Amino acid sequence: MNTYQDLWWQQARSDHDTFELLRRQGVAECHSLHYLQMATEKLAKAYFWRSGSPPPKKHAGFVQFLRFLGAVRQSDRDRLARLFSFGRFVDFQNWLRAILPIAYDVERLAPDLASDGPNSEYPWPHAHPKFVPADHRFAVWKSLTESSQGRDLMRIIRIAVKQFPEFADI
Amino acid sequence: MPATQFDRDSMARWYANEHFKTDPGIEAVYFLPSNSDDREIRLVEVNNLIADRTNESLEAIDFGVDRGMDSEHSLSVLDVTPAQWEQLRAGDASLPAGWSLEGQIRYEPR
Repeated sequence: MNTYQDLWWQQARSDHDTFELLRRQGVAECHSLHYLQMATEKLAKAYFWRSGSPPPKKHAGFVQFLRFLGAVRQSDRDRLARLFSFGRFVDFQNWLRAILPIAYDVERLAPDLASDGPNSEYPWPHAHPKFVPADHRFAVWKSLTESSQGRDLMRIIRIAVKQFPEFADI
Repeated sequence: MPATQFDRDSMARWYANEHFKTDPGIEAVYFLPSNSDDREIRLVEVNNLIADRTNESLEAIDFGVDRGMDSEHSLSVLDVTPAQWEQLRAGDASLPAGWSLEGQIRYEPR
């Protein structure tokens, strides 16, 4: 892990700690989701800094990060699968395929990616606001909390944040 | 979600029903009331669509619900495969710290 990765990882860990704190407190969904989105974005950027070059400044990256993990070189596959509690890498790949729709929805919580619709920060639509995040029931929150896949995604994100140095160079 | 007064048993049943509706892989939900706070609901959900995993995945995800209301409580959900459930029952795998199978209440899809 290089110095740049370490800096981004530190911020991802802090964002993720805040996400778990907010989730346990039961505050408005938008706040938990905002920190989850930020944690996953920074985790992805920490990973992409492994090249030593800055990743794009855009808020996207989490889905791409998951895709990269699903396509690592053969020699790293068993180790990565074990790290994320899967017995076989193919099971990890199948799991990734199943949860990617939820990961996309998490990524699209960032206002820049929300197509002027529900996002975790600002009232929308921009030109004539009608909705406020603090009062909104987010479909992605329902997916994360009420389905085993959603809860599993949160478990894997937690492992990814905590164990980042174990796969930062893969 | 039902609001107003908090009835832990009814709420546990309600969560189980809601999860049965949205997740076709759930075979059974176990409510584990022993050793928990009066405002905490602990559920084990046995799911046959979860990929086989090592037992390091046995981690409950907990949420705060209805903060500041009479119905304020926390919900913790442990998702397991049928094989992991059998291991838990046999004592070959460990529940999260403080959890107990004693007094378990089983819910099945209606």
